[in-house]
Amino acid sequence: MIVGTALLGIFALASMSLTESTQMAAEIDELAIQEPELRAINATEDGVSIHVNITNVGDQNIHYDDMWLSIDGSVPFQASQHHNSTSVLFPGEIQYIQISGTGFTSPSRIFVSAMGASSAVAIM
Amino acid sequence: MADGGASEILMLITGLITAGIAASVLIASWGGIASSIESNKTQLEADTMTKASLTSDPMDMSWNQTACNLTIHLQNTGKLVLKNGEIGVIVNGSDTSISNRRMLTSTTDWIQGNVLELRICPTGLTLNPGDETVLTIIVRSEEYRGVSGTYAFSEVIRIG
Repeated sequence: MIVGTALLGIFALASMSLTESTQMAAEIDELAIQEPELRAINATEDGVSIHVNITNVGDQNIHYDDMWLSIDGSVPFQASQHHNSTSVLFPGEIQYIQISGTGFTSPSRIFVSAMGASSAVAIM
Repeated sequence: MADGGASEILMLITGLITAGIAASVLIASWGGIASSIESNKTQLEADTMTKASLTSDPMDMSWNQTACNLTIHLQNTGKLVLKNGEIGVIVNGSDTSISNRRMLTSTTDWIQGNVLELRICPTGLTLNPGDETVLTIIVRSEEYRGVSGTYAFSEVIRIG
């Protein structure tokens, strides 16, 4: 009887521990951060503005408030400062952004990052 | 016959008492295990929701040797608010001191999506334009259910 009770107890503990671990793994998996994917397609400049085309190549929405651009290693700025006609770059969408008033005379490179995703392209 | 019955009852009672003690010990053990699992789970959750990434162009990092000033920008890409006063930065294996920090948005809290600018000085390090080195960042989140999450990442950068 004693041995049986002990064995049953151990079996119950093992079962509960296994169930708990499985449930914990599932809960943590739900909390995992899904990173977006974006790509800077091309960029040009005309002496006044920089024109850049970007696309969302992942499966997560990208908010322009969360998207930051840096020209030639300068201090990054929010994409939403230069694009406010829409607020989200949806998966598969290609968007054109015109950046004016940066003070750069002949910029050579633009770097885009958003929530862990990043891409860069030469400015032609 | 009567002696045999009494003996069996005695054995039964002894067995029940022993089984009860064993069950109590197992339940107490389970309590400890459950508490430990819950604690680990909370820490794992906090770590999972803590994340940051580099917003500066890693190919063109701003560096001033004379002023010992490397400027980096970090975005909170996690789900928890990060502590902007508790950041570790290692450049090429050297410890650094942070001389200045500011948020690039109007908020003071380092919430999700916001970018923090750090001006750091890597102790005793000489870097020249074009040099490539490893930047390691360690961030810590505000408390989530009593624990702070941590996240660390390394990235190769080129001095501009």
